[in-house]
Amino acid sequence: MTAQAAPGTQRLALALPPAAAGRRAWARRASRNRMALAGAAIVAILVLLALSAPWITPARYDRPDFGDAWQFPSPRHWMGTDGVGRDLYSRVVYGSRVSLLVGLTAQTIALGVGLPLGLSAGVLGGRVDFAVMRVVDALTAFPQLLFALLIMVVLGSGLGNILLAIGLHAWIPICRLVRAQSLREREQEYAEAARAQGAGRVRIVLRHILPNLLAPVIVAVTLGIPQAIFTEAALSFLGIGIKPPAPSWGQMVGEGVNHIRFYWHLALFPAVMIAFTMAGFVLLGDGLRDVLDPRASM
Amino acid sequence: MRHYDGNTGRLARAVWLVMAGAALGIGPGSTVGAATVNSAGTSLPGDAAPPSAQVLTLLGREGTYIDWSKTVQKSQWHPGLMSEPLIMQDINAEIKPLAAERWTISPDGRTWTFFLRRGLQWSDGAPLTAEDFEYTLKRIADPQTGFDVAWYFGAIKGFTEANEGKASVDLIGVVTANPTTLQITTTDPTPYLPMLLSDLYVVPKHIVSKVGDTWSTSPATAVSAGPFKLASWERDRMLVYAANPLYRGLRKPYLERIVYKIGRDETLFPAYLGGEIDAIPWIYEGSVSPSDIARIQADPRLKGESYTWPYYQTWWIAFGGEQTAFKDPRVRRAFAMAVDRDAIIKSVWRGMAAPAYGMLPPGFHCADPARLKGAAPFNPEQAKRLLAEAGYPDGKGFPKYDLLLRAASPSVQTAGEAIQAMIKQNLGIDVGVQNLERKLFMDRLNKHELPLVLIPWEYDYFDASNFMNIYRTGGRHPWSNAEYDRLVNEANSTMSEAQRCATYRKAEDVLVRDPGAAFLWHPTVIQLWKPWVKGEIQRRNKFGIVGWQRPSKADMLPYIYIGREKK
Repeated sequence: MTAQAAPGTQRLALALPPAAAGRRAWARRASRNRMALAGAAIVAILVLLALSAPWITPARYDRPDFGDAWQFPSPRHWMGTDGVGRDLYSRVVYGSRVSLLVGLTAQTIALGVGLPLGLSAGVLGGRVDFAVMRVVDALTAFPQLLFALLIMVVLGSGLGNILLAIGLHAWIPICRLVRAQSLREREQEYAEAARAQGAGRVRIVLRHILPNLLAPVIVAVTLGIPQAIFTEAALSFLGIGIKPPAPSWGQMVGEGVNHIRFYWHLALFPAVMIAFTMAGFVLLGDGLRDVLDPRASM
Repeated sequence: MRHYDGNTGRLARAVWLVMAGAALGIGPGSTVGAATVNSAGTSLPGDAAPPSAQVLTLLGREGTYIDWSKTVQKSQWHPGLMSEPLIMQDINAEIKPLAAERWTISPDGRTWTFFLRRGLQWSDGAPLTAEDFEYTLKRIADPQTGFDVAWYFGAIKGFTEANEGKASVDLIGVVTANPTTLQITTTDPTPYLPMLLSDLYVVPKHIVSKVGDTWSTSPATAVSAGPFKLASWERDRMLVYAANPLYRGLRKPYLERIVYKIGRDETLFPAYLGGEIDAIPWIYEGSVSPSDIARIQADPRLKGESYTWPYYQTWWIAFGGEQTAFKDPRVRRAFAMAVDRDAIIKSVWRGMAAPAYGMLPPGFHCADPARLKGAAPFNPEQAKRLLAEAGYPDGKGFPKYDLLLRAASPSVQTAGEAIQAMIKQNLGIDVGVQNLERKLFMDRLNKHELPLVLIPWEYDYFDASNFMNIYRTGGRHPWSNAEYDRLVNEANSTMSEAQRCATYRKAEDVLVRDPGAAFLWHPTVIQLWKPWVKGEIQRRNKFGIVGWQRPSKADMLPYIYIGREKK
């Protein structure tokens, strides 16, 4: 009964007077755009922090000052210092480099693997499709964090291994998306028209299908960045990600949590940064989806 | 031939009270005027809470067994609750008779005869005999047992050979002359044998030979020769020990029950603040973190409940052997001189440690650390020069190593990071810091596979041999020095105290100057207990310390009681 009711309600919603529906969509878009702008601003600030880190911090992230350990936030150390006297503000600012690097590189790997695999599965179909999709199915069985954990345990800690561990899983949603989209685009009339005009397979994919895929892929990649950043933070929090003195927010939170009952600042500031970064990228991704891929948000 | 006699004052007092009670027609658990007698037959002090309130609650890690003769690393703490060693260490770290009433040494200093106290028994009523001790030692020696610190008893004749599987365990130097007489023979004269035996936790032969290694895990089979017995053990939740009414030894307990909750280190301090536990007696560095210490120092009430004292533990950096860059003594020396002990103590430890210049902690048997203060001082310039001489100018070409930590607490990890920063800053060498799981670490350490480790050693018994022995060739670390071995072996079997110490110090000189290790710090213990936790822990010992000595071994638990203040 319910299964039949669902399409009915959808039709009902579509049957609203066009003007009212348009107004609502417009209002929603406007508010979403405000959020998207906020997201973009946060991301811009992060990029700025990462680029200008050496000039806006009082000390290098790994420079200890043993005489100044365990300091609470003060005008001298805006965010206090840790147990070996490293300036927490410097570490947090440099930490944005690690997070952005991880987010962007992991998604680049994901795109580099997911796009060609998804395309070939969608366009070639048959055995290729079967093979790719079985790999995808197998990997989908693992949650991303669990998968990354396994890889890290095998490979050991380090930035390179983290990128690998995240990238090796992050391509899956992109691959599925590209496959599904290209399956649909393949059957569209324009593709049929191109085929009728004698265009080859490669040409159809590159000139017709790929441009139509771009919008949803950009959205997916953007939304994958915060997930990659969070996975790195989680791994480092657990002590198998990036090792000190490299400035990873997750690792800082992990160490700071041990002292949170008294030296609250050690975990607080990097945790806030993780939250802001996640929010920034998610808002930006949602906003991009509204602009680039209106169908998806309908 | 020397002869020791038991101090039976406590027992005599207890017996007198029980007899007085009996004479008045009153059994245990009843009140004689002001004195209350508990279920173990101990009369409680005047300021003690009634027997029903004599419950001490602690929190700590969980082991697999309660059997230190099976494994030390994986055993539940407090082996002394359910076992009765021949000898005990008192709060002054002096040996006192326990299961053995007295003992004699043969003129050549190699054969020891222990005479057991009469009437000792297990909690199932079976007598505790010399045979149980013989069985226990042979079980420890048996390679099948897999005892993890077997070298500890290596002084006993034939023990090492048996443990390595080269000879039968029946040939080791332990003989039951009669049910109350035990003879132990050592390879060389071993003046500190009684100290070793204070950690020989006897197991019930009649049970273990039947049930096997799991005997200690269930109240049904875990019979006790000690002041307490196992009442219940819920895995991952708690253990409860109850006073053993059939205990006939010297350590009659005041407490009716000890509730030992299982929990992680991080939960200790919140549990204490929340009144869920009565004490944090543990002496290892993770039990009270630097931020907890800051909190304690800022709170007058907590400060009044805290007890700090220098601990007989030394932390050092140990180096890999011939296959590593550390085979060159100049490299080892460069590392030792590149680490600023005082800076680590001031920052990471918030002053809760003393700098270590040698292996023996200040105040310990034969220790004289002041003479070594200049042996490997913090000196970055000289360290850099030494490293360049060894072929690694500014650290160039130096292999990549990780400084490995053994299941380290957050504070020790921070200390590791501090050392990492100093090595980088002063030598230009990048070392990683890696925390390994305990068993993996120990297996690889014992096989001498670890190139660079930060590791402690703490005393088991108050004798320099306890520290010095582990650096002999074939010991815990790959470093090997014939002169050191010779000196330590000589000191170990010297009967004159002054001569022993002089020889140990010569050996320590070799170790520090070579150097075999970079000695860093001796921790200061911080313990907490509520004002109602009373007894021998309130007494100042001969070293001027008020502290809960050897808390993981239960030496002081029988002498602790709950005061009336507890609501």
